[in-house]
Amino acid sequence: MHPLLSVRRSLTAYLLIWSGLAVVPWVLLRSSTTLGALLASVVGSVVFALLTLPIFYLCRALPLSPDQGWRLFTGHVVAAALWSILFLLGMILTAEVLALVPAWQGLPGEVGSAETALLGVGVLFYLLVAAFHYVLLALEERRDAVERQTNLAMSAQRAELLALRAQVHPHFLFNSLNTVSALIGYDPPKARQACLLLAEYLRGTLRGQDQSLVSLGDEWALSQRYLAVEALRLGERLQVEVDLDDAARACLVPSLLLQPLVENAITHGITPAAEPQPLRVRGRCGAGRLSLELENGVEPAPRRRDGGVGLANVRARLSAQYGSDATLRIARDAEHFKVMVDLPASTLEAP
Amino acid sequence: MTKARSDRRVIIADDEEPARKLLAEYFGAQPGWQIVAEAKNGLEAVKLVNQHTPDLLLLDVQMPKLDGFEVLGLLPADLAVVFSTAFDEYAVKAFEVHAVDYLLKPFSAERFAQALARVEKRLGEARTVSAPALATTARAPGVRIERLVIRDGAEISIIAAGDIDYVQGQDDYVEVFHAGRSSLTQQTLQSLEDSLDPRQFVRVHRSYLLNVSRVARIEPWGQGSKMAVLHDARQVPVSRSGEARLRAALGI
Repeated sequence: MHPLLSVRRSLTAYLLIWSGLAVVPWVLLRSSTTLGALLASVVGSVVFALLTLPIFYLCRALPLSPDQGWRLFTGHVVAAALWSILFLLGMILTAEVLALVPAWQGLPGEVGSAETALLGVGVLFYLLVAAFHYVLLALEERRDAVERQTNLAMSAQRAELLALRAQVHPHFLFNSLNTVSALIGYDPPKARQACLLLAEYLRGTLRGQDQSLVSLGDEWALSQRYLAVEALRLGERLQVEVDLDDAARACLVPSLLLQPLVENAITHGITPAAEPQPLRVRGRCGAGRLSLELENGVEPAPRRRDGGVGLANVRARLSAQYGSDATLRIARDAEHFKVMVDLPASTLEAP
Repeated sequence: MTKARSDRRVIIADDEEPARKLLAEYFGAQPGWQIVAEAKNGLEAVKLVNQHTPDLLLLDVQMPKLDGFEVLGLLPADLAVVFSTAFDEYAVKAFEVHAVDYLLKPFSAERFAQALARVEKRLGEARTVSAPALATTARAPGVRIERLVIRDGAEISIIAAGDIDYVQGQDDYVEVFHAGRSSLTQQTLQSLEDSLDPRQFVRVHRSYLLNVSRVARIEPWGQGSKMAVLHDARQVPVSRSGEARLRAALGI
C-alpha cells in the first residue's frame, strides 16, 4: 500500500503542496495575470500529483544502492521523460477544457508556446517526487527495522522466561519411577498413590507454564505434591517445617518461582545428607512487601559445588518481572544454606 | 539336598529405602545370591565391605557421605561392583568408556539378571579401571572436586580441598599435606591436578601441587630454581616453568 494512501490526511497535504507548486507553471505561462492561467496551472499540477503516486513503486523497485547505478540511471531517465510528457499532456488537456470559457480562449495557445519550458518543469517535478519518495522509503525501512528489533527482543525475552521456569528434572522423574517400580512389589496402594501425586505435580508444572502470576498458596500447593513424592523416596530424611501466614499465601508471585528453590534445597541439602535435615519455608507479607525464606542444612565438605543454576534462574525471573524492586539473597555458613527472596506484595483483589 | 556351591555374597548400597527393597526383591528371585548387608550411605558401604568381604557390591552413584566413585576408590580391586543411577549423563558416559557394569533406574528384573550373569563370569578378576580415572570421566565439564577421600589404614578421612597445603607426587601415589598431617593415597599427581580447581592449585614442580593461598613468599634456591615458603615456614621446590605458573596465579 502506498504510504500516502494509507493515511487520508497525508494525501490531502500532498495535493495542497502541489497546488502551491502550481506557481511554477503559472509563472511560465505568458498571460500570468489571468485567472485562467492560474486555474490551469493548479488543476494541471493537482492532476499530475495524482499521476505521480505510482513513482513510489518505481522507486521501491529501483533501490538506491551503488551496484545498481546504471539501472537506476536509465530507469529514472526513461521515467522522467514519461512523466514530463504526462505533465505537458495534462496541461494541454486542462487548457483545452478551460478554453470552453470564452474569456480563457487564449489558454491553449499560451500552453503551446511554453511547451519546452513545461517539459523541463515536468522533469524537475519528477525528480522532486522521486526524491520525496526515496525519503518516504527510507523512513519506512527504519520504522520496520525498529519494529523487527522490538519484536525480536520481545520474543527472545518470552522464550527466555519460558526456559527459566522450573522444568521437571529428569533425575527426579527417573528416581520417582524407580520408587514406583519398587512400591509395586511391596506396597501396591502406595505405588498408586505415588503415581497420582506424580501426575498432579506434573500437571501443576504444565499449568504453571501458562500463567505468569499465581498466589503463593497455589505455588506452595504444587511444591507440597513434589515434596510428597520425594518423601516416598527419602523417608524420614525429609522433614519440612512450613510457616506461611494467610497474608503471604494470598500474595501473587511469578509462577514456578518457589518450586526451583524447593528442588534446590532437596538436591543440594537434603539428599546428600545422611541424617534428617529439616527444610524450613517461611513467608511473611507486610508493608507492601512479601518476604520468603528457605533454609536447609548442608554437608560440611561437599564433593562438588555445582548447582547455582536454579538460583540464577530464579534471580533472572525476578528481575524480568520486577526489575530492581525484587531481590534474592543467599546466606551460607558451614552448616546452613538460606535463600531469602524479597518482592513487592500484590494480591488479586488489590492489583 | 546338597548345595553345588555356597551362595554369592552381596552388599547393596543405596540411600533410598524403596530402591533397597526393590533390589532385595530382585535378588530374592535369583538363586545362588544372598544379601549379607545393606548400606544407607557411602561410608557405611565401605565399612560393611571391610566387615563382610562380599563377592559383589551394588553401588548407587549418588549417596550421602561418600558418593559411588569415592567408595570405589576405597575398595579392594578384586571386588565386583555394579553401579546404579537414575540419571547422570556423565556417569553413564564414564561407565560406557571404562566398560563398568551399571544399571539405569528403573531397571527390569531381566536387565538385573543380565548384569548378575556378567558379574558371575568375571568374579574374582581384578578391576582394570582405576577409581580416579572413572571419576574424572564422570565429572561434568568445568566441575571441580571440593574434597579428597583418603584411607589411612582402617580410618577414612575426608579432606576439604581448601585444607590441603600441598601435594607431593611419588610414582602412582600422592602424599597430601593438610592441617599439619600427611596422608598417602593411590592416585597420580596429574589426575589430582586435573580434578582440583586450577585457580587454587598450581603445579609448581614436576612432583608438587601447591595451594597458592598458602604461599608467603618465593625465595631463590640453588642454581636457577626457587623455593616457595609457606606461611608456616615449610618449603616447597619450584621449577622454572612452575615459577611462571605460580606468579601468574598469585598475580605478581
